[in-house]
Amino acid sequence: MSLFSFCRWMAEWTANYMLIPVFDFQKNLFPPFSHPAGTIADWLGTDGGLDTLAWTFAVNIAFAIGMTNLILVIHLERKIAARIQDRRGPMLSFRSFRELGEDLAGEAPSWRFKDNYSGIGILQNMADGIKAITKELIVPAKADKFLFTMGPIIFISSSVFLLVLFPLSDRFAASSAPAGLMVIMAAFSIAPIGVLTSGWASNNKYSMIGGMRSAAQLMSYEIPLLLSMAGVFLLAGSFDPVTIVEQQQEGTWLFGLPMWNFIPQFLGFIVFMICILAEVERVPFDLPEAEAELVEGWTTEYSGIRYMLFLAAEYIRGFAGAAVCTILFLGGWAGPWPIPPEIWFLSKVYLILIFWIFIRWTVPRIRTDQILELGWKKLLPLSLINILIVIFMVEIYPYFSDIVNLPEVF
Amino acid sequence: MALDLLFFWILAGLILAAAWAVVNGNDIVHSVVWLSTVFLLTAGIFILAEAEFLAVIQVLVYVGAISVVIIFGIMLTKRTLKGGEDV
Repeated sequence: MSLFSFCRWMAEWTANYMLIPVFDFQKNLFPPFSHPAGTIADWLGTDGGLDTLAWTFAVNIAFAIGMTNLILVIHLERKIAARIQDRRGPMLSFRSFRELGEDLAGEAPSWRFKDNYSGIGILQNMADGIKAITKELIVPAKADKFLFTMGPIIFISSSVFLLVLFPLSDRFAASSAPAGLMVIMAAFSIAPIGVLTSGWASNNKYSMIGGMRSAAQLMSYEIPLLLSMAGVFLLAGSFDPVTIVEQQQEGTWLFGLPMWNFIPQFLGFIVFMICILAEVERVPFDLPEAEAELVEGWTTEYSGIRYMLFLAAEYIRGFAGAAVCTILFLGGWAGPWPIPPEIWFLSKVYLILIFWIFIRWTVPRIRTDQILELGWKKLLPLSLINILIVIFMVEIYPYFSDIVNLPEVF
Repeated sequence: MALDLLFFWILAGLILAAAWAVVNGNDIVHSVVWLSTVFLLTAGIFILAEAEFLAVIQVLVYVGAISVVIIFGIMLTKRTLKGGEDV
């Protein structure tokens, strides 16, 4: 059963037992308003209405899964960072919430902090969220008010949009656009406008420099990123994630292992990993928000929930970037049988994310002049060489192997 | 079909409003943001015309690259911070 058919079933149930009776009741209760209520009930009975409702459910489910993963990724980052720095990370959030509740109820704390230091820290994100929501949203006096509020909206909405675009498996997809991966890249490419406008509107030199760096980085790394993706598109002959993953299962390698794209296109894989790190602005490519030199760059003037949503949007972009990398190069949701494909997909995504977290806490940031040199002089030629290799594999080798009877390698 | 037409007129109205804001704004950076809104909504028109790939490329090229280059050009030219200080 696919996600959409499940949602369709849920939509039929909701329409028949919850929505249409309400509209009918309303129609009987207020005869003057009977006409619009009647048309909505009629529309919900048709295929179009049910499909619309079903897509709404599917998008909401994908969004909820993405947000849950966001919380887990942030927690993972905190814990692994703490372990690398020989700390323990957030440990006591459950007990802190309990103590808060007991405090509000006027009771004495039922446990002693000094007695036992063990605990679970996964609610730390909730505590941070509550803190961010209750803080004041400061707008600087001389900032450009309109763009100062528009910038976060552009950045965060284009990032959250990413969550519903990639499929978790061939049956679990909230979006079935045939140009699926190009839609993801288009959503990725909207963000620089939000970054630039919020950096400019803060009316602050450092925010402005951070915004400029960010846009320069995002734009110059988008070119090798798309070129390294082009190799995969050429091999699969499609932009559709499902087709790309199926194509990767066809060829075999040593011991009958499936030849996922990172084996024949190793160059493209390396270029893609570096470029997607720059695209989601993680260390070592976090120049735009270099906290040591630019005081958090283009997010300096933001406070409260806006700043927290900026951070959340960056993790969402990281999650989506890792998902795209899994689909393109790591065989997507393919894996041995007993584990469901969605779990395979998520475990591959988490593998990449953990790799990125290790990079973040062990590797220093690169310099501004190095970043453009790396992008234009190293990654761009490498991605072009990757495309040449793929063209040789797809077009030239089969042509000659037909004529002179070469062994079938690719 | 009627729903398509409704969405078309909504999009057309929004595009015209955003285009009016481009030429009528006081600040040139506001104009560029409105211009990128026009590009984004035009992609919506392409989706309604069932030219999905064209819509994606419209967003990728016009919103992702051309608007950013225009904003770059504006921001790299000389301006003063609000409050009179030279940058």
